[in-house]
Amino acid sequence: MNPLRVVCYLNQFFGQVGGEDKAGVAPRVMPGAVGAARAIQQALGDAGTVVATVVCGDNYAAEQADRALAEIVALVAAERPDLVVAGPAFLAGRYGVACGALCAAVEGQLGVPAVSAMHAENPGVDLYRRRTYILETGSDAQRMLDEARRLVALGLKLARREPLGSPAAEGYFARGLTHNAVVADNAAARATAMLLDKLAGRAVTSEVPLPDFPTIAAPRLLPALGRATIALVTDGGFVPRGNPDGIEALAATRYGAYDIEGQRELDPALFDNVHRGYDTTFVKQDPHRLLPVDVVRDLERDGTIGKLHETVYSTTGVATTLAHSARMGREIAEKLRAAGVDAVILTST
Amino acid sequence: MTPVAVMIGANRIVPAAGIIHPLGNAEMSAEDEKALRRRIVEQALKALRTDVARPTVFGADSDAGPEPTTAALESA
Repeated sequence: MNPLRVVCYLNQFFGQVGGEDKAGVAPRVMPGAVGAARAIQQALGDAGTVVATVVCGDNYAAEQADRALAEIVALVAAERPDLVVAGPAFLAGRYGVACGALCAAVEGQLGVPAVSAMHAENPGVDLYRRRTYILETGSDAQRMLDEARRLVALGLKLARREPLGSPAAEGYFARGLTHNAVVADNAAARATAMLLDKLAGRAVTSEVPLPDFPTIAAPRLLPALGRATIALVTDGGFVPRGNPDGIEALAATRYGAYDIEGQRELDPALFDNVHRGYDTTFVKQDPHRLLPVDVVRDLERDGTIGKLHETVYSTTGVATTLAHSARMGREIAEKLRAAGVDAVILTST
Repeated sequence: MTPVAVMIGANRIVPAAGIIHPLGNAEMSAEDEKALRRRIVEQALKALRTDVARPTVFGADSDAGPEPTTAALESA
C-alpha cells in the first residue's frame, strides 16, 4: 500500500509561527511536517507522509471565519491529500472551532476524510461533533505524542474506509449516528441482564442514550403578583377555527399567536383543536379546559394579578422534535419578553 | 406527565386534572369545574412566587407548599 498523503492543520502557536502577537496571520502552507505536525508524522511512521502543514492565526480564522475557511480549504485541496489531520486543539477555543470547521468542509467539499482532536469543553466539540470525527483529548499538550498516535490511528481507519467502533471504543465524540448491530442476546435477555446488574449495584450502560437537558435556572418573579402581567401558552393544540397558521397535528414546526383582547371567556364556536396526541373532545367543548382564560380574567378583575397578556401562544406538543421545541420556546419567550410579560403559565396535556 | 416535566428540567410544575382536560373535568358541574380550574391556576401563581433551585412539583390541591421531587432525577 502506498503511503497516504496527509495534510496537517495547525494554529500559529502549534505551527511555530508565533504566540498571540501572530494570531492575525493569514493561512500559509509549508512543505512537510512543521511544529506539532512532527508528532503526527512520528505517529504515522511508514503508513503516511505529512506532505504539507497549513498554518493559520487564531484571530484570522475566528474574525473572518468564512473567508479564512475558504482560503484554508483551497490550500489543503492543492496538496491532494488522502487524509487531513487538524489539531489536536486541546482547550484552545478559536483553534478548536477552526479545526472542526475545516474537517467538516474538507469532508463535505473535497470528499477527503478528515479528523480532529480536542478537549470535551472546547466549543469546537458542540459546534462540529455531529459533522466530523473529533477525538477526545486532555486539556493541554503534555501528552502530545500519545494523543497524536490515537488521532492518527482514527485517521488511518477513516482514510482506509475501515469500519469504526463505537464512540466509546474509538475515543471520539458521538456524532449522533445510528448503526445497525447484530448482537447475540435478544432484547429481553439484555434488559434482564441490565436489571440484574443494577440490582447488584454493578455498572449499567443503557443502550438508549438519553438526551442531556441543560439546567436552566428558575427566574424569580420580579414585580408583586398584583402588578404582574401573566401570559398563557399551551402545547395542547389550541387554534382558532380554520387553523389559520396551519399548525401541524403532530411533529409541529409552527406555533400561533392568538389575540384574546376583549374576550372575557373563550367562545367554543370560535376555536378548534388540532392536537392528534390525545382525545380532544372535551377541550373542543370548552377550550377553558386547556386555556384558563375565564379564571385568569377573574383574577385580573379582582386584582390578584396585574394583567392577562392579550396574546395566547399555542402549538402541538406531540412527536415534536427537541430542536423545534427549543426554537419555538426561544422565539415565544423573546416575544413575551419584548411585550413586557412577567410570567407564563404553560398548560400541557 | 409530571415525571416528564421533572426529567426535562421544568422548574415550577403544577399537576393538573388530566391529559384530556388539564384544567377541567367534564363530569363535574360547570360551577365545580371552574372552581377546580381556579385552584390549579392559584397553585400556579403560588409556584411563580416561590423561588426554586431545581425542578419542583407543587401539589395541586394542598396548601402544604412545594414538594421537591428530586428523587426522580437522582434515580435516573
